[in-house]
Amino acid sequence: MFVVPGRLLTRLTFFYLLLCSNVFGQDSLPFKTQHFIALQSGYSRHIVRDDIISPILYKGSQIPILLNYQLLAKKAQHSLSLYYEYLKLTSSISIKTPTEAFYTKNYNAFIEYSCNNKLHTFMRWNTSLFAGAGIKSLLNFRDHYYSNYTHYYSGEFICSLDISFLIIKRFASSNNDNISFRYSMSIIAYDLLNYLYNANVAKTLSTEANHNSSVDLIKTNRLVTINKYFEFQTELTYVKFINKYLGLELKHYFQYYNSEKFKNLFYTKYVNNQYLVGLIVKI
Amino acid sequence: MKIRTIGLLILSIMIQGCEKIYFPGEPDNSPVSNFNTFWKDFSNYYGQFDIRHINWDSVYVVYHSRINAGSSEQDLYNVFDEMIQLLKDGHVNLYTPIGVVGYNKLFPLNYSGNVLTGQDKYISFSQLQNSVITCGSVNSYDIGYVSIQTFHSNEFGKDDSRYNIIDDVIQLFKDKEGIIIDVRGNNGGNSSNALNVAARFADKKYLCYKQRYKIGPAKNDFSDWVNFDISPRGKIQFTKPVVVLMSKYTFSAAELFVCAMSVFPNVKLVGDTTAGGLGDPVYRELMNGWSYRLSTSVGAMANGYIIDGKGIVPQFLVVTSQEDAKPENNRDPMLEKSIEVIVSSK
Repeated sequence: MFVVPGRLLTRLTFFYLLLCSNVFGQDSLPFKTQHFIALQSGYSRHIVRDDIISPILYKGSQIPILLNYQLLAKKAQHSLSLYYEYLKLTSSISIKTPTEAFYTKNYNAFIEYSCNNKLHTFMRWNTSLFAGAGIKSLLNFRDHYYSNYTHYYSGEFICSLDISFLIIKRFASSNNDNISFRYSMSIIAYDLLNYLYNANVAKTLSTEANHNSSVDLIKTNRLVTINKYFEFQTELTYVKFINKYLGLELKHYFQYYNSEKFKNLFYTKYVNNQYLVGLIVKI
Repeated sequence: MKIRTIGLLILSIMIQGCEKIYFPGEPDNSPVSNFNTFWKDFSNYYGQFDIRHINWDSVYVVYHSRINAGSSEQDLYNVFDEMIQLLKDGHVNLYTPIGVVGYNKLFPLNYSGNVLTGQDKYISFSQLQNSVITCGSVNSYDIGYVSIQTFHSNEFGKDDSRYNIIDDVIQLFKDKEGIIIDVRGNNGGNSSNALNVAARFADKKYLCYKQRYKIGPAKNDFSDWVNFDISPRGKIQFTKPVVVLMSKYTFSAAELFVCAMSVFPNVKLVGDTTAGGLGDPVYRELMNGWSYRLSTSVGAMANGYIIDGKGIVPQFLVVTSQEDAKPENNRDPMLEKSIEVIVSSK
């Protein structure tokens, strides 16, 4: 497998952030800083292949909730998003007896902040190109039931530094109707539940045999790059304002990650696919 | 503009539609595929092939030929049963609608861990008891007796407050010459319950036991040995002579209890060798809805002696014969030896 040395990755990251700084920004359009708050919900589809708990795919659907704050300045776009969802994942196993029950209780949440600086505006198409970075804290916690009496914890709790690219096409310079596409991917991440499978091997736990290890699990961390944790997300958003302050937002959100776990003995692949509709308010 | 918008929408739908490319295919729900999944899971994650002298590759060769596309679920069940028996591991089980498979010679045939049919002959029981711990005084001696029937929790994987009754028991027996702790009928449960009770007999911090874990698919992909300590817990600790009564029925978390108690200088082990399994099992599942568990670790005593597959050997080996157990005799030589050990330690 191709391995990116940590020092090289750090240098590339700083170079990228420098590239995204305002010195390259150019825009001759008149622009006033704007603030937006959006609340979205809709349909989400989750698929998990968690090798720790099963060789089988577990899938589920739910109505997610996503809250987003956005600041759109002349040369930058800032975004803060909060998301939470609880759902039950099931598999193709159809067996149902009084004691056997194969399902996963799945808790999903993230908080994300991103800042994108404007790189260029294509005046002819009224389209702006942004690039930037963000930080994200993601929790995907799974409580998997093999029977009504036996269950097992697994999951990811990952804080990552992401890079992102954003294209915004405004339909008219006089209003806020636009369509945008955002792509972001993690470049370096802090994996906090890597040793959930077997925390004892992490060697960061107390060796006290009769201690409560749940608190110590947070110590079983590791720093991972895209070699061990590859994650990306895309957002395609269409915004149509019905008056000066209130608008409708349609969004397709897609997230994928592949996390190698526990010294490569296991891996987790995960897809979160959402179709959202919501209200956006200009404040 | 519309063309580009539609293009982006199509791109988005394509990403969604291609979600299958992000995942490897699931195993088939066929007898051969389920056999292969079962065999490979053990090959990757099972940690005790060496100490149980099993060549898992050879097991594949022998049993794979007995499964084909036309095999019934009963055929698969029978083959898995035979494979599991080879491991002789009480922490390996298969759960199916047909039945539950486990190593069927783990415990002696017709053996009851609680060999006493008339305990009143030896013990005057106290009112201080609950569903997991009973206690009493040994007749004619200034010795306390504690029976711990299980280390299971009310809720899977959680500490159970019922075991905190041990603090009251120690308070009751604090002036006794010694205590006999009987785990002969205890086949395990939650290790944290076992260690919580054991910690009431520690006078200081001790190295308690060691474990190493399978951390990769290769045969020798093990972690280093991880040392675990035990320190005093509870309002008061009992540090006068203690005997732990053990048997072939003592298994899993109960063996961990014996292991932990054995490091305290005031503790002697009396009875028979334990069943031999610290385990740390994990659960897996097959496409046909069967699940199974397997041991991913190897456990050892503080001195490095491996418990899995061997069991803990007592310092005073005593065997209860069928003759002893007859109602007309109603003798418990293990308990008698325990009394003798405590009396002689004065």
